[in-house]
Amino acid sequence: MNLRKTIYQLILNLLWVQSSFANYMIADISAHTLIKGVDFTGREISISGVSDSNSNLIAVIKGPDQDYNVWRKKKIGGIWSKHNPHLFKNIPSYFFVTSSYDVKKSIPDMLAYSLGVESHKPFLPSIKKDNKSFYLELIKIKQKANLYPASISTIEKVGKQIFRFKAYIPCSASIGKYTVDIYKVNGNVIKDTIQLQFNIDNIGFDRAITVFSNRHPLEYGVLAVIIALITGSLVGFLFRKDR
Amino acid sequence: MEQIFSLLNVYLPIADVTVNLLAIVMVGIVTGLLAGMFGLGGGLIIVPVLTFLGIDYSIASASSTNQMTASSLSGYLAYARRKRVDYKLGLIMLLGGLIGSTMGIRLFHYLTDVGMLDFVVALCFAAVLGSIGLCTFVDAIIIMYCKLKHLDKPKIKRFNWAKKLKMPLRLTFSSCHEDVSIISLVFVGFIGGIFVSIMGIGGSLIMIPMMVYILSVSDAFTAGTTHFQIIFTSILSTLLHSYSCHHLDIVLSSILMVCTALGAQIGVRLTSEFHPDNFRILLALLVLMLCAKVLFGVMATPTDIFTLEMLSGAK
Repeated sequence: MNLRKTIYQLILNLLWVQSSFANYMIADISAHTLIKGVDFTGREISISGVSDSNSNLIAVIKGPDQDYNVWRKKKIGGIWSKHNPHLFKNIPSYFFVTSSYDVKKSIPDMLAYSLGVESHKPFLPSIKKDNKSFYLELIKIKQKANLYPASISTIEKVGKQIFRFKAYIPCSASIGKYTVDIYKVNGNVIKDTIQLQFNIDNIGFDRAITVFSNRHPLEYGVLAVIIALITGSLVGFLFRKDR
Repeated sequence: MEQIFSLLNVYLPIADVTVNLLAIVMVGIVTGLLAGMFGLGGGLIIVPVLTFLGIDYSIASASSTNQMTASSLSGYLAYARRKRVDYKLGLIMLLGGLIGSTMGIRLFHYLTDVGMLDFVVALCFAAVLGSIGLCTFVDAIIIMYCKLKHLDKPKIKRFNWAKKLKMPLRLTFSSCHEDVSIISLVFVGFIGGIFVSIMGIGGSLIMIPMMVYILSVSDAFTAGTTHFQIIFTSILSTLLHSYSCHHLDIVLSSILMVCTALGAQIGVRLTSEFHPDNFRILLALLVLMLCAKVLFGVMATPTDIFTLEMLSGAK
């Protein structure tokens, strides 16, 4: 009984201490590892936390960076073929942005643009003019695949301090490390930031195969050939006509 | 029902897609069945069908190449027992095959880099499927006509173009009707090797007619010698695909090789029950339909003019 009383007292003290500070923000994520396997058809993750009531929040989720070529198809002699590739390096494979309410009205355009709040797309500091249309096509393709969700819910506030939001990770999301950056914006400036992380990975047999093929491609090929030779020999032996 | 169907889903770790196991098994068995009944190459059916199922072309091609090692070995063993393999001929062709598959992998990389792989391969498949479909169709009509009129089947005319060209380095082979130049043998093997690496097909459908019509090889030795050569070219191609592009999906190729092997044996047994000539027209129509589907893929206006390619180096 005494122990329970002490715990209650501690929680109350902690809440009182927290509310007495102007700047604080803590958050956590519902799942730190998503397993990509046979039953992975996409999954919703939820992030919740506590922050002071005076600030607005912006959250950005980014998937592992990848390089992409965007190709334009042209019809030549009645046949469509790919031409004119434009290379984009270090583009997040997944990009999700949400805010506590219509933040773009309260924060400067540049900040909204750099965080991707307005456009729901990652900010590229140096992009050539002739590359821009290809970059926009990249975004469109990503949006179609649900990898750059364009229509999203806002960060929900529960009471004055608790916040939560959800993000959908589609089955086509790449394997790797994902970061969740939560920005606390007060007026025109970012007051505080926290970063959470989660992974999309495969486990067991699937992981063993992926790792083996990437780290030891020659041995992996040899193993595949050995399996083929054993299968071929077995079939040749089992189904031979003189048996 | 949908739940039962989803239980049969299998995740392919290298292809990074979930496909239905039943669909892959069916592809393997039907391909094996056609191979057993009509001697039609596995890759020619497997690669386009796998791409229709949503598997990337490069993964389908590399996995089909590995599956071919198993099917060629089992085919070779059957022919070797009947002493229907000309090893001398096969080894010289293999030289060309190994050069062809190595160059084919280089070409595969080049075409991938310039974004032309899908386009070139689709056209190659359309050309090969179209010509085989048409030849089989004409063949089926002739067979049907001969059966109706109670006539004998017309004999194949051999041209021996290599002899007409008077190529040097001629050798005598027990399986050939005439002396054959080493150069023409290496050339035929080379073409087969290129097909293995780029298209993921064994190339027997290209090599066997070349051996019969150009090199005057006896019919009895063509299939066995081709199988013998394909074992090595497909092994080399599998290793190169795995080492240089990481496109080989061991799960996919293992499922395929077991199913095609079973399908081929069922096909062989069916030929003793039903004469394959009676079904030749159906095969021709199937191959022509596949050709039409491949052509439609490159000729129909795409839903998206822009396509996104993730560069594997950035993974």
